[in-house]
Amino acid sequence: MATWVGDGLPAGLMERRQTSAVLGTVAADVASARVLIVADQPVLRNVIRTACGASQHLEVAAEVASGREALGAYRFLFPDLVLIDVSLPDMSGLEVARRLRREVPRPKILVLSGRTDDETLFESIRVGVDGYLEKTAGVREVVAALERLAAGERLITPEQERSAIEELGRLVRRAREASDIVPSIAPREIEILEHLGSGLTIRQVANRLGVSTRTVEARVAKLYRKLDASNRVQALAKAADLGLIELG
Amino acid sequence: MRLSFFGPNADVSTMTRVLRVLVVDDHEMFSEALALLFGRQPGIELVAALPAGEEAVARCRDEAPDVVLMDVDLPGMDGIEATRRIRAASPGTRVVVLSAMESPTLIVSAMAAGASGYLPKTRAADDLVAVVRRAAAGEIVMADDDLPVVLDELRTGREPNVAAELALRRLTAREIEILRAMAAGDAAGEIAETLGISSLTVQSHVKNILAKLGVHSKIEAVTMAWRHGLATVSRPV
Amino acid sequence: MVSKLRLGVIVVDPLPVVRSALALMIDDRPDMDVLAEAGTAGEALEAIRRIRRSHVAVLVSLGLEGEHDSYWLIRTIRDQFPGLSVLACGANAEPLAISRALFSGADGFLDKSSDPVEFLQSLRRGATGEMVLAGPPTEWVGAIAEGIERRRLVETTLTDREREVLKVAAEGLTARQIATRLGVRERTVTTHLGRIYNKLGVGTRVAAIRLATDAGLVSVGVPE
Repeated sequence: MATWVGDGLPAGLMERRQTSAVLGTVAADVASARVLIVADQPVLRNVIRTACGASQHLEVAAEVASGREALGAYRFLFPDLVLIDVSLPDMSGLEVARRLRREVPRPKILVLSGRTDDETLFESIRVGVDGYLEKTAGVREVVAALERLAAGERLITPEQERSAIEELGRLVRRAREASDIVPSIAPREIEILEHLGSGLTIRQVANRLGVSTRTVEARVAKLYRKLDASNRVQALAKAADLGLIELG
Repeated sequence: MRLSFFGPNADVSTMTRVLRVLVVDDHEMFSEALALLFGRQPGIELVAALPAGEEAVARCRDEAPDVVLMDVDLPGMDGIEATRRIRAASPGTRVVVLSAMESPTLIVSAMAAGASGYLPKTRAADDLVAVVRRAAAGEIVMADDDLPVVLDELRTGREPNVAAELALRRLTAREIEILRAMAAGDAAGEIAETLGISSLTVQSHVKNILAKLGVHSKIEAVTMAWRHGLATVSRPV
Repeated sequence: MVSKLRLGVIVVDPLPVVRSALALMIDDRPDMDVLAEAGTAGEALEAIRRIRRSHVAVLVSLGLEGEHDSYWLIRTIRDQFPGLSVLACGANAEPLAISRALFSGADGFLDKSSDPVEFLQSLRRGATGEMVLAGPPTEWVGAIAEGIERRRLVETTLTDREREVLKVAAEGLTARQIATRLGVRERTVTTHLGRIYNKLGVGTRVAAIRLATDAGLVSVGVPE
């Protein structure tokens, strides 16, 4: 079904738009799922477009090279599937995915990443993408993934789920740690941390606060214990991580 | 952005014989894209697509291809080092360095390592073909906008900071989002609002960014982002 | 990494039938033993104090209510018996309840409606300290992570007093009523509320209560 939402154009009619998007044919073929390709490397777009063209189940509705164009093209074409490269020139591919998820109807989203880190995968799953592929995969895998998405299959693998849940575990641990420690740190101690962060010595901090060096030393020792740190650098890093102070 | 070519087009034979090209990139998708591209070009033969630097050096030593298209971000030996070794092992082989990220710093390092040019992967397909042909003939290629920056880096004599460059690549997509916003001058609160997360989360990310980049202040991180092309001063994020 | 030791499990659920069913399923496994069953938080803690072995997991149903509810129990076990694994378990739980359980200290969440094999395998893995989520769809990870981060925001930016004020405010009381409840002046309450809005980055009481609810600070079902 080739729905065409636009300026009241009759169904099936094609028109070249002002954007740099290149439109494919809107065919009346009922079986094909329509794909929007969002990637800023033309060479990649070419090979993916060609491969999708060879698939009987897919047809490319458009190709765009930026996030803004992607959102515009989506609202014009309402493709079933959107393939998004995480690295785009104007915004993160994840931001595009985030916004597309709020659209009605919502498309299936396959994210392509040039990275292999757990955090990007986790962020993608948090956003709620339907599939995540690394660029170390081949084009065949991309096409297979799009076909499976079109058929309504789930693409997030058990390994990816496991990795995301592990990352969630880390997030939980950090959040718990923060809520355990932060409330126990007095405003005065935060002040001391800020001074230490600016590079002041203990003596200078004592001067600043109008107390003895010994008092500051004791306070700092207590702080290190609370932050589970053995030196200034660790303490400052931990404090920044917990949001108590800002670095730089 | 226009490409400029420099230097003598010395090897006329490259116009009449088939040019043998080696692609080095761990993103199989990209290698396949280049294979498709060159497959349609008469006169260019893709000899192999390899995922790592070491293999590429060995292959060049044995087979001396005309041109190597070398990705900068490789696992293990990085593309700049691989370029250096290939140039030493097979002087007749030209190397053009490709990168997903624009970066003045890397260009300088690439040229110093003996590359014939440096291209971002965002270039059009036609450009890539032209680059292969002209690099094989002995020309140097560079995007117009990059030249002044490269000359400036050379003039100020700063050590190309390849380590910093590679460090930037270790940032996650989220961290890059935040670093770009910082470079655009957004405060933590604004960033939090735009991304729909808490400002504490933003601060946590900032801390990780500073740690990964090996810097101690936000201004250093932002400067790195500008210098390495991650964000432009004028471009709104 | 799954331990070679048999896993000892304490099953905590207010409903006897559910308790028995879970216990039977677990005891049936050659590598697991049910050490005790408990119907309330108090019983659970008593049972825990009697334990004399390592590699123990406490399976806490989210159905405990009242002052010593499931979240209270999870937090208490984490504080007093840090060597034990705690796994929350529920039937058709919402992301908010799951994030609350995780934030309170659970090492994972197992849905009672999940496949029994998956349930048990997740129980084993959770008992070694790995975060597990058996049953909830991957689509919920985002909402669960949001809940955790919001809770962290509320816990780390508000003082105890401010949290107290917010909890009472969430019942729908006016500033004066809140003041009466807490035994302070009305002006004190409005000052607190002002600071709360500031810290949470919201502009209205409704927004603050919404955030507090999303953070699991107050129970769902409170009129907004």
